[in-house]
Amino acid sequence: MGYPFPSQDWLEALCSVLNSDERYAKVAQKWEGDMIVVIEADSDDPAPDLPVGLYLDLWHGSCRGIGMYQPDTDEFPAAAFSLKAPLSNIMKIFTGELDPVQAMLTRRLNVQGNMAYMLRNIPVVLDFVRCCRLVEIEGKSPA
Amino acid sequence: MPHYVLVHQVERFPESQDEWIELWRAVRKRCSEKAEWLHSFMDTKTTKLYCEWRADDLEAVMECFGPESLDMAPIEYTTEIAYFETEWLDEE
Repeated sequence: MGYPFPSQDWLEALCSVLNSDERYAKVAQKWEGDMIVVIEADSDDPAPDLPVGLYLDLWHGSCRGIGMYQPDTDEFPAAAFSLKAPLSNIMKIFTGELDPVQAMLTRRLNVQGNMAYMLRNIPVVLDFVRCCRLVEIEGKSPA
Repeated sequence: MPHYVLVHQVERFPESQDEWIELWRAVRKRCSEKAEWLHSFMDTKTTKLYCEWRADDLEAVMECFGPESLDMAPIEYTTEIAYFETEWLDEE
């Protein structure tokens, strides 16, 4: 079953995957850091429901909480990491067309937060993306 | 042109995305016709960086590093490498 992206349903499905995936639990067992992922409209495709912020509280291999925020009406929570990218780049990461680390190095994925911590924990970043790819998106082929 | 691998031990990671990009871009800008940085791999267990270069010689590669880069990721080992393509193994 596919979920619309971005949506609360997709976020809940991701949280469920993160909390049931043994590999993620092991790889991310020392990870401490919540994040907000801001998904922006592409410059050539203005989407009226974007930007939107997806919040994930990630702690020691589990997802402790989620939230979806509209920047126009909601106050974003202060998170350890803030990631921002146009929807097309996020979709490229989810389909495997764009490597997440390469996306960070080329600013196709903007990162605010402790980059040293992120780079020391690249296996966690990669496995988080693997889990994201497990959540099927409505109308998109899985990676 | 010979290929080289340089192994760096990362001593200090950049604190921000901007610092990371600027640092790597500085190395890239110092590249010349004599030395081209092809790509890098990081061993995520040891945080060693394995960087492949195509260059006239190792000296040309070394000219691409400023002191800042070498402070953050000193070179531990350098070697010339032999290059193998494996796609031909699929052919009968």
